[in-house]
Amino acid sequence: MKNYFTLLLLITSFYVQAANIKGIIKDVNSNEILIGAEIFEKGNTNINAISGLDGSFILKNLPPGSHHLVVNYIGYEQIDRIITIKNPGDQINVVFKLKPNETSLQQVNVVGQSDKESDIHARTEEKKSNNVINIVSAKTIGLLPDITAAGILQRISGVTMQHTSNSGEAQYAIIRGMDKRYNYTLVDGIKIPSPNDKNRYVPMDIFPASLLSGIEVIKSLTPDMEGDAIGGAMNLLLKDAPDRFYLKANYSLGYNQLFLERPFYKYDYGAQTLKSPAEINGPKYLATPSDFPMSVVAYTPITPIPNMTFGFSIGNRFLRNKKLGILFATSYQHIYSGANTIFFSPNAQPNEGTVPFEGNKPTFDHLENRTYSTMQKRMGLHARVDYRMNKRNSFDLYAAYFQLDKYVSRQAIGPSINGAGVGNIKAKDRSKTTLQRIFNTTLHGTNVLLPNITADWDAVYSRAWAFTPNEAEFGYNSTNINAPILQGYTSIWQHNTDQDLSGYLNITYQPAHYEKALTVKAGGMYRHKNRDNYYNSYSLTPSFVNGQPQVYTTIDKAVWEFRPVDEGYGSPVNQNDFHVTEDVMAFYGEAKLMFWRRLSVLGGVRVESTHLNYTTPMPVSFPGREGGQQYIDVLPSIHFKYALTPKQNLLLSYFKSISRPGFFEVIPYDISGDYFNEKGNPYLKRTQAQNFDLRYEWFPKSSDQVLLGLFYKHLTNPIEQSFVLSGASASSLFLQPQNFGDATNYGFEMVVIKYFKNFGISANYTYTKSQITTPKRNYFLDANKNIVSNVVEQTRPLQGQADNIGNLSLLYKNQRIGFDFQLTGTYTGKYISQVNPYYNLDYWRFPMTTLGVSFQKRLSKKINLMLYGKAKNILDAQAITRIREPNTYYSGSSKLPYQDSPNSILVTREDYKPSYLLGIKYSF
Amino acid sequence: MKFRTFTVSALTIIAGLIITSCSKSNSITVSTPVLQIGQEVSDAAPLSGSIKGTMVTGKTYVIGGNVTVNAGDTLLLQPGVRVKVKKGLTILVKGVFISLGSKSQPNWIGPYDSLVKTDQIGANPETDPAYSGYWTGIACDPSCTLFDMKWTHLEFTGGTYGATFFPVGKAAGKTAFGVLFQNPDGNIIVEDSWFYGSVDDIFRVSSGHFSFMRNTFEKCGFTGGDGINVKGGSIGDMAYNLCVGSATNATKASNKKSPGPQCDVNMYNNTYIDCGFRQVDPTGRGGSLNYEEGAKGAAFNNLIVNCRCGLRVDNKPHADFANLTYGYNYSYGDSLSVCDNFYPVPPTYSVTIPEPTDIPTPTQAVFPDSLYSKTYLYAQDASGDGIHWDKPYDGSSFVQKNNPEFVNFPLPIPNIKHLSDVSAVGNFDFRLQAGSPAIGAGTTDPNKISPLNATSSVTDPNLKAIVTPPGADCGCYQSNGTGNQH
Repeated sequence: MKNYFTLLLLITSFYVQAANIKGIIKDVNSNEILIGAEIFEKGNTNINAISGLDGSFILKNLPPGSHHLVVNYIGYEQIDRIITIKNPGDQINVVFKLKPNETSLQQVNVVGQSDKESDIHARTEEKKSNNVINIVSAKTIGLLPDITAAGILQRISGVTMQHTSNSGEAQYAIIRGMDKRYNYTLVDGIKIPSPNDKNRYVPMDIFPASLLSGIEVIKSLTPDMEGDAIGGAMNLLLKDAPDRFYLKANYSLGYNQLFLERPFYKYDYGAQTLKSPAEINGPKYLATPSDFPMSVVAYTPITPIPNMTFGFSIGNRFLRNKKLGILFATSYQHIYSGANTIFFSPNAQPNEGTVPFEGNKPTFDHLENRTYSTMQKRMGLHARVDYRMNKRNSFDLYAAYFQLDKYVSRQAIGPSINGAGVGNIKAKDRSKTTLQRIFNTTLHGTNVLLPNITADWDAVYSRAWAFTPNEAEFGYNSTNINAPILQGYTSIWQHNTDQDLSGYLNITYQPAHYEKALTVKAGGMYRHKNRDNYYNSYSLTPSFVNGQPQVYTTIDKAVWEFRPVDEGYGSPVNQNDFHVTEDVMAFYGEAKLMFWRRLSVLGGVRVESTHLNYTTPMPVSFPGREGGQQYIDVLPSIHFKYALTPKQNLLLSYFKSISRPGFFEVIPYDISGDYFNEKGNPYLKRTQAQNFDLRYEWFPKSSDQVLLGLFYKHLTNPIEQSFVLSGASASSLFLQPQNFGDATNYGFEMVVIKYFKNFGISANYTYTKSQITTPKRNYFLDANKNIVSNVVEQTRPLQGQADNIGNLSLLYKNQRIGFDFQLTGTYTGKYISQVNPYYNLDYWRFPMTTLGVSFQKRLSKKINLMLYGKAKNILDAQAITRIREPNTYYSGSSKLPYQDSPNSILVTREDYKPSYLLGIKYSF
Repeated sequence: MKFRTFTVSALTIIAGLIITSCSKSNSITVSTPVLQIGQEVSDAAPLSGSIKGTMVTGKTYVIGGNVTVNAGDTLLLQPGVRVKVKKGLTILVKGVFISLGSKSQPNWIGPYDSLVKTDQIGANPETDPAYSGYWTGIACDPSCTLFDMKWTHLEFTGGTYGATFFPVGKAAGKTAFGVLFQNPDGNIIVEDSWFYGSVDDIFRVSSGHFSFMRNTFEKCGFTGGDGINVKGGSIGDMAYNLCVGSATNATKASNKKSPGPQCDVNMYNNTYIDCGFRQVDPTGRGGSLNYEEGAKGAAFNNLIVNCRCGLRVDNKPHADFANLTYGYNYSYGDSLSVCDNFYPVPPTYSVTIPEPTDIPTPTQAVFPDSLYSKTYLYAQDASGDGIHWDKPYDGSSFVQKNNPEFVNFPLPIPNIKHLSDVSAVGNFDFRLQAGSPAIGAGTTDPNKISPLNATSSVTDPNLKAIVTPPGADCGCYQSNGTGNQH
């Protein structure tokens, strides 16, 4: 008997009236369950079913007699089988194992697009992986309420996202409590540069979700991966060229509820020039107020047009044996969002307290009601050509371009605090446009050199760049006895580029006589990075009118001047103007061995050499105007994977990794602030970490999963911005990025995915605890009631580390009517959002739960057209930040508005409102 | 304590007399204060780059490029030196800067171009060269251990730092202070000197031991800025200064950015004329003398005439009012709005207590209830702040009362549109006529006010601070001839 199908009959005799056939449908080779397979009775299609998320189906109320069942699934050979029901109450269980259709899969290298975007593929990859990894499939992405990669990431186990204050959107990733600086971003396995002006980390909101075929979060590094991640690496998978004609399109319209309640305030986006007056006219140009169009800070209330998202991808394979694959994908989003924010503007230096040694009582200068109006235009383009020359050689050329333009107006107005009845009002308006771009092109090749030696290589050019053109801010203050008086105006131009040229080479050797039990891999990479920053700021002074301070009416009537006139040169040389080159060279060797067919050991070592040089345009007299850093790291790692059963694995990983200082941090900038100076630190060392992971995996079915994990990290020289402790002499009052001895971070992770026929549940939970000790300033009364200050050490969690985070999704899927529904909740426990240089005054983001819903519904059985909808933040959760100190502003004579607790001081409350999208999508 | 204070005071008076008589004799060459002082600075060509040594009496030097006094080096100006600085340039001091002018041979440091002083009443600040920011002043790095300036004119500062030259903590394109001092262990002694015109503060002492005695400040700050602005880690006396037409305050103390020692400042026997009116922020700020954010000290015997507000003891963030004493301050106002702010009322956040020793006497009739009392205002709330003024008083009974009777400055000021029209001394004479009610209105009780003499570690007789103890007459001119000598 051919083994392409197996039938199992288990006839049980439950006391039920109707006869049912229950079954499950699987791939004969991989044993993966198949979702959406069609089961019907030949000649009587009224008896039919579709396999659910767990691969199961049920045919109910069947009359006794023989039934000729047909099982159909795209890409598989059809099964015909006759099952006989003897008695009315029979309960019959069957398993159908389908064989892949040979003709549709003749190219060994080609993996079907539909497969790669599926959840099952994601689970399979996780199961196969030797290291600790979480994968989200394109299918899941399509169903989540999010439209950016950053939004998706927050649904992944162990990941929290930092949100923008202007629209509440997820932006930077914190993985297992490790701040954004400790993680890196890959696109199809290639590290990409950042458009951030000072740092290495990439804003994850630049990537439109619909362009992705998956997201991986890799939490333990193997020697063939770049070694500078301590939290983890995020790998964005772009669509591959398909194995047959492929076309997908989606279009949706939506709205943010915020703009049903208030207008959107736009400014003259077109009036912002990309270049500063000094760049347009040369460095000798003395700007005048007429170079600064005031329409940039003139706000027009509008009712925004609906939000729009659009995605389109098309691909096919051509030539004989379909050797050539082409894919083109694009995505465009035009979104209006915003925030209504209560912000208590702090006085940086706290009060000294009322009794000796009490110390550090937070004080505030004024309360701001901030109105943010944010317009975002997000675009992604992705093109890929692959050529499967023969079974031994294939080439893949792809290019990706991502663009995010943000236009944010912020109008802040509010009373000075502590001024009940005083009537002082301070107003500040700011317009900030940021234009960010990332481009990456990679030529990838795979060549089988000898039957058991394969080379694969990448040649990469990538570039990230950003503009902040004419970021303008001005203010006006008034009192109950004064009309508003015009205050100063500042305008900043900033732009930066970061360009990488990289090459990667990997050689894999699989000796035949070991029968794949041994794999040896070695290789290296080289990257040359060039980074440039430009910064110029101008300050305009309000002119005296008739010798008196100028009354503010409207911005177009404001009269400005440069005082002294040389201020018209802007900031001609600035420490923010810097140039960095960085060369990273790495080699590695690793071997993977199987023992007793159950234990797989992957171990090896990676050596990375880093050579960074910077130059600044600072005067020759400036200490450290040029400099560099050079270091070599040896990064061993070993990963054990033990198959307890075919469906259960135990993983144990160790790896050593590093995190390089930010580009700007190692430049010895020296910026004088009102309360403390800030200095760069050319002597800053990279952070080194020892990472341990233990994980238990259980894949009861191919779509289901249980993961339990423990992790422990020991960091040497973690980097934090802090006061300098050593000596603590009077002249050392400055903040500087520094290395702080040791820090630890450990935690527990859990993922459960389980489907019951049409229902599914996907949950994850992470507990994290970290500890770092840094010096902080205490400002207090001594025994004689003199105000003194000193530096004390404080132990606290790492910035961004939430103790408890979790996600819970409830899914419903009805294949028969083509309907999917998902309810997604995300909980983020409290974490330090901003480390305060003063003792006990850290800013804590308090726990927040957000809820989103999404659905899709097939509109036609003939063409694959779906209606879909997404709603985000439906509970209208507010992001609240507090200082965890007894609230002296809760009651009594110093009572402040919005304070809601005697135990902690509310400093920020952000409200973004729900947003909705409704659209259609089509796939061929 | 009493005895020591007396002895110190007596000695300083004697020393002052000796110095004064010496310089009058005009025959003594000032001895080189630091042994390593090098040779004469050449006046043959404009100076640029690093400079050190002595600028000699009678010569004029041109600063033609940015100059640096390196750490370990000293630049000394003998009496009667003129230094003309070209536009936009900076004197950067990493070592020691000493300008020892004398009464008869004052030194002058100012613009290379001749800028005309527009000292007439009502000069438009928009066109007044005093606020043009011609050059970037004298900037001391944290390595500067001593800035010593006597009988010197410093004029038309407040320029913008150029692309390649600026002190620690400043940047290209930033407006310069007239003089920046930022060494908490260093000394800054400024006596008998004249300061005219700036865009921001004339003196910014980020930290340091100081003595500001018997100086004249005119036209400090454009839309903001103070005469002398000292921050956390600054300790010393500001006394017998004449301050006319400051944008905001003339003397200000704040413990902001406190690196260690608490900001502790004595302000006594200063005269403040028409200060505070160019500050464009209407929400608070002071307009004569001001203590805020943890600063402590003592303020006595000051004469405050037609300023936007009187002594401001700020409550937001609060001054160290528990360790701040004041009284015997003399206020005069031409108009009701000035008189309503002898004790700053809203919108200024002030906890100044009307002291019975003040003139005018804060009577029960004007301040009828306990809301103006120490017990009420100094009662700290849980956050550590006091209860600042929220009830205006009626100052109408003070209007144009208690004319201090200056020798040549008629009150009420005739023929002006705004009080801000007066911003320079010009031909005015702010000495008190015999019979002025300000005479004897102050206190010399060392229990109330005695000099901090914070620069006492400078003992060289040529260099050390000549401290004038508090005088009985309010303001900077004493009827016995002591005090301000301008």
